[in-house]
Amino acid sequence: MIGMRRRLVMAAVASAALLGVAGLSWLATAAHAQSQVPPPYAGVKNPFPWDNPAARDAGKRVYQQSCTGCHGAAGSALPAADFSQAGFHQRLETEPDYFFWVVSEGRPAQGMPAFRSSLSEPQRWQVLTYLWSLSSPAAPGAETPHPGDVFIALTAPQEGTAGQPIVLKAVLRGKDGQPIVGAAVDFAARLYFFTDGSIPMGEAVTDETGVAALTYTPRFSGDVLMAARYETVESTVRVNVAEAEQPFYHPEAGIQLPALGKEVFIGPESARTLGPLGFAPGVSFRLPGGALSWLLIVAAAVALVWATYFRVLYQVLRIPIGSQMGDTDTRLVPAIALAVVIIVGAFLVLKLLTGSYSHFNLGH
Amino acid sequence: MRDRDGARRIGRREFIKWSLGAAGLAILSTPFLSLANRAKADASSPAASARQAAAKPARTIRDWTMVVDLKKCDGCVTIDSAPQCTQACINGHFVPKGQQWIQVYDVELPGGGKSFLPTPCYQCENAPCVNVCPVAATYHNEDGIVLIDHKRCIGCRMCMAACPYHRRFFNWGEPEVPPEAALVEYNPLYPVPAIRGTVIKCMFCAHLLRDGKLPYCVSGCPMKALYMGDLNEDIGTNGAEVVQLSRFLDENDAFRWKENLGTQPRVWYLPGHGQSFNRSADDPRKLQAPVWSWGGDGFDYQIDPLTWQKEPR
Amino acid sequence: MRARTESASQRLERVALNPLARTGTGYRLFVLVLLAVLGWGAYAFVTQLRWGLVSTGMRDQVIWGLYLVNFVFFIGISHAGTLVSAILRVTQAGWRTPVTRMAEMITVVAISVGALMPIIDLGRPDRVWHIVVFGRFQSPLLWDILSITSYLTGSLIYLYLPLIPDIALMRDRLGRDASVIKRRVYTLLAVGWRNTPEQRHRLEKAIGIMAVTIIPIAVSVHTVVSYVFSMTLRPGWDSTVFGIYFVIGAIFSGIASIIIVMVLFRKIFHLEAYITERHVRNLGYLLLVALLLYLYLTVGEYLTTGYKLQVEDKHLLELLLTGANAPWFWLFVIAGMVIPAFLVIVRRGPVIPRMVVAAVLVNVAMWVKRFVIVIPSLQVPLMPFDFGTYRPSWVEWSITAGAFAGFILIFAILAKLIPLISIWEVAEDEQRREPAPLAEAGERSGLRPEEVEALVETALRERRRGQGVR
Repeated sequence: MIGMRRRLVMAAVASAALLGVAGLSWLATAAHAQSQVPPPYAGVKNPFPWDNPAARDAGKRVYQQSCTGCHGAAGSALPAADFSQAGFHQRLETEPDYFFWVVSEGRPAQGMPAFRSSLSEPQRWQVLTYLWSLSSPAAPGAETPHPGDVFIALTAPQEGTAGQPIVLKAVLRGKDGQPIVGAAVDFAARLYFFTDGSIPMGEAVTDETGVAALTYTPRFSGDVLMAARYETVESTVRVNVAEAEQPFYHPEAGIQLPALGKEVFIGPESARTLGPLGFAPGVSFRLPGGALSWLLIVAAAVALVWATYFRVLYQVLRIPIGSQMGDTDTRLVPAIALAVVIIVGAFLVLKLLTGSYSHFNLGH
Repeated sequence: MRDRDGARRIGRREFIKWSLGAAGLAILSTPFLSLANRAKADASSPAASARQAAAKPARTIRDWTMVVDLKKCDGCVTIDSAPQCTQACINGHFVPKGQQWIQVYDVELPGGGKSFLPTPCYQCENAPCVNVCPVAATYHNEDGIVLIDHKRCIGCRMCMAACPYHRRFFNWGEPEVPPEAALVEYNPLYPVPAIRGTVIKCMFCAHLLRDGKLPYCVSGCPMKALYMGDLNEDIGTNGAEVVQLSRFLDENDAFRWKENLGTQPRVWYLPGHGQSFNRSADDPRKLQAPVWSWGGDGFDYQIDPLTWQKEPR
Repeated sequence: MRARTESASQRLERVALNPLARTGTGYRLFVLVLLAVLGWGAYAFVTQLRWGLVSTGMRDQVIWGLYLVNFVFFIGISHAGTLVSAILRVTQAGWRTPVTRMAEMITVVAISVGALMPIIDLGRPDRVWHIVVFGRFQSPLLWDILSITSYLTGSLIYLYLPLIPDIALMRDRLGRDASVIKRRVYTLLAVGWRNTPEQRHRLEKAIGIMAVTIIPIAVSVHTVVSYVFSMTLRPGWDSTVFGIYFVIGAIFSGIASIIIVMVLFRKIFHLEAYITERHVRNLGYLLLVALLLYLYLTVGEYLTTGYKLQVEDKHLLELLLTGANAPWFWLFVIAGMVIPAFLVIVRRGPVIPRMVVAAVLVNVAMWVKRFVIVIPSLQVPLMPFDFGTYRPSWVEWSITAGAFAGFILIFAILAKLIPLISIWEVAEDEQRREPAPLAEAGERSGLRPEEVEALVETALRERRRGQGVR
């Protein structure tokens, strides 16, 4: 018969052992999980606070672009990785490095791609921040700040030149004047091209001082209204963009021979000098392609042929012995023929060099 | 020099000197003649006069291009009319009957069904028509548009043989145009009235573009499927919205027709078959023929040898 | 029977100058008919000037028609002269001499008629001077102008030079009652020719230079004519071998034309002694060589496109082999390639009729082949629309008939103005072959040349034996 005392001791030891085993196993699991995360991911922490709204919003954008395909809009599409499950946010808080590793390196066996190349580090943390909000009961929804709550101011140079970068800075301030950090600001250019329209220039995220800076190189020119927009607030600045000295677009047709100078190329040619009021190009003395123009070769060939005719007819001119036969000058016919050959030959060579040629790269 | 008979003969050297001198003089004097010619031309060219005209900088030089969004082009079958682009062009230019300077073709899609292809002149950068013209009657202007000078064209039709897109038309007989066409002063940018015996085609409505307006086809399209763009400023519009051309082309898988021929056309197509207006690819409705409101036979006649009268072909 | 009192050279003169002296009623009637056809062609052209090119059968798809076909055809024939005169002269083929004059005449007349055709084809013939003033030499049409102008000038010179001694002969044979103008014209054209060795030397030199010069020019002419087509992106035209293809085709149809012209004039003007079966047969062999080369190039063209079958090439081949143009294509193959080859190779039956039939078939087939080159390539649709159609109108047929009539007419007139055989060259040739005294002696005695030769051989052998020389 075991005494009461002995029974109590045995129960205490058994429960302690059980607790110990449970604790150990729990520790082991945790340690096991932790030991799964390889460097450099082991031990990394979220740079953003888990309830940071800006990071959450940025992360929401990334999630909607890259993750909803498999995980669904609410993060609950895959039962094995249900982000909307209660308690998920605690796992994020405890093992941020593990989840960061999964997002970065993926899980090829389960079909999760690696995002370390397509998403930057901040972006991946922002996504995790958003995932935290999906399960956390305390996480508020993405609030749309009322116009009165947020103030935005855009600064931009008043003059610019097409082809030269312009720096646009948008400052975001909250209701109480504190900077709004990590917010994505859209920049657009409003201009007139046969009709009023808007060209998106890009997006920038506000830094710690609440300033979002975008460097944009415009191709368009003219009076443009640059606008910076965040949610529902926007700020505009009028910028006059001057035309560039050189055009940006160069129509190409032909094969350039760079070593021999800009003018020399093999290819088609089109109008260089239009006639008055835009009529067809006129006649001018010009050697397309410079000194190595194909025209000179053709002109030389034509000149050679007609010089041969000249020589032949000159031989004929020398045939008559004495110029007269009776009262007819027997050198008349060859003399006329020679004159015709000279005139026609010289004319053809002349036309070759002074034709209405054309060059397609008008003005460019 | 005197020959054996004592008669005066031109010596060989003298003769050669004389003839070379004459020819040389002729050749050398041409630059001076043509410099005078060119000075005259320069003074009245549009760029020069614009520079002289005002203190503001010279006219913007553009590189026109057109983009056709085939997702929006339904051949105007959903509105039960002839293609409005063609119709607007015909009305605006008094196009001779039978010619469609912008023509809508139907193209077979790989999975069966049809899509429509509005085809203006592509104003190719490496234009075969410009390359072969014997009198430089067809040429590029600074904005990249291929123009025809109908006072220069001799009607040899070599350019029509060279064009791989069948975008050039010939005025075989006297073009029948309404009386108001006679009031227009001819200009290569706006070839009205059409001149008999010359080649004619779409000029991207250069006269409208010069005045800051969109071409007839672009503004006439009710689906807003045609975009006019400037490759230099990377910008385009269909009259309702403005787009950034490079992104617009990239994001929509733009292509050009017969790209491998190397003509470098300036018209891009965004693939589609009118789905923006709920036209399915195998919609059986066909294109309707445009109307030339002033009537006429076009060039669909021949001449009787004995009576010299028009007869149907 | 005419008494054998005239020498060989006298007979040559009589035969060659006979057409210039006498004009029969048959000739006059023939010229009238040709003038009528030419007149009708002129009327058709006036119709075209009045109404525009709408009076033809060409429209926006098939933009070139019979006019360009005729252009290529006539310029093709013009290579006759160059080949026979120049190449055979350069290669010193002795049998060519009686044929050279006619060949050179064909060249000049064919170029003149051919060069008119693109002008007739213009939509604005009143602006033809634009080509001269505003000519743009980056265009193949201007290369045409350059080349054809040079070739026409060169051919005229090349026709004129060997004509000088013959005109001098005619000048010397003029009777006392000849008109002053005629005497003046002959004197001027004969350039004071007195047949001195120095003059002959100069003339030979000049002709030699021209013979060598004209060959590359002739090659360039039909090459640039082909470039009008091959510088475009059309199926069937977009070929790299078009240059040589057209040149061989030109030589081919040119030889056929010489055969026809030669045999015709031989018959009409009784030139049997000078244009013998040997000439016709040799030209027939040349025709065969050109035929084989042309066949080789044609097969190459259709094989290389048919093997790959790019879309537009496929449409073209369908048109040619089984479609609307199939009758013309197969007509060309059979009548232009197969039958003439057999006629030349199979040596059964008299030579001259065989060669003439072959030549006529070749010329007709080559006209049809030029049609097959120009029109089907234009019928193939370039965009999603239907094949084009082409039916030449009466205007085009009339102008074509007028062109051929004009061609023949100019020949007929020239035959009355200049001797059809180059008298002095043939005379030189005969002197070179047989020393004159022997030939004349043989004629006088009634012996045939071979018999005279045999006698001379025997006499010489006797003399050598007598002198102890082996």
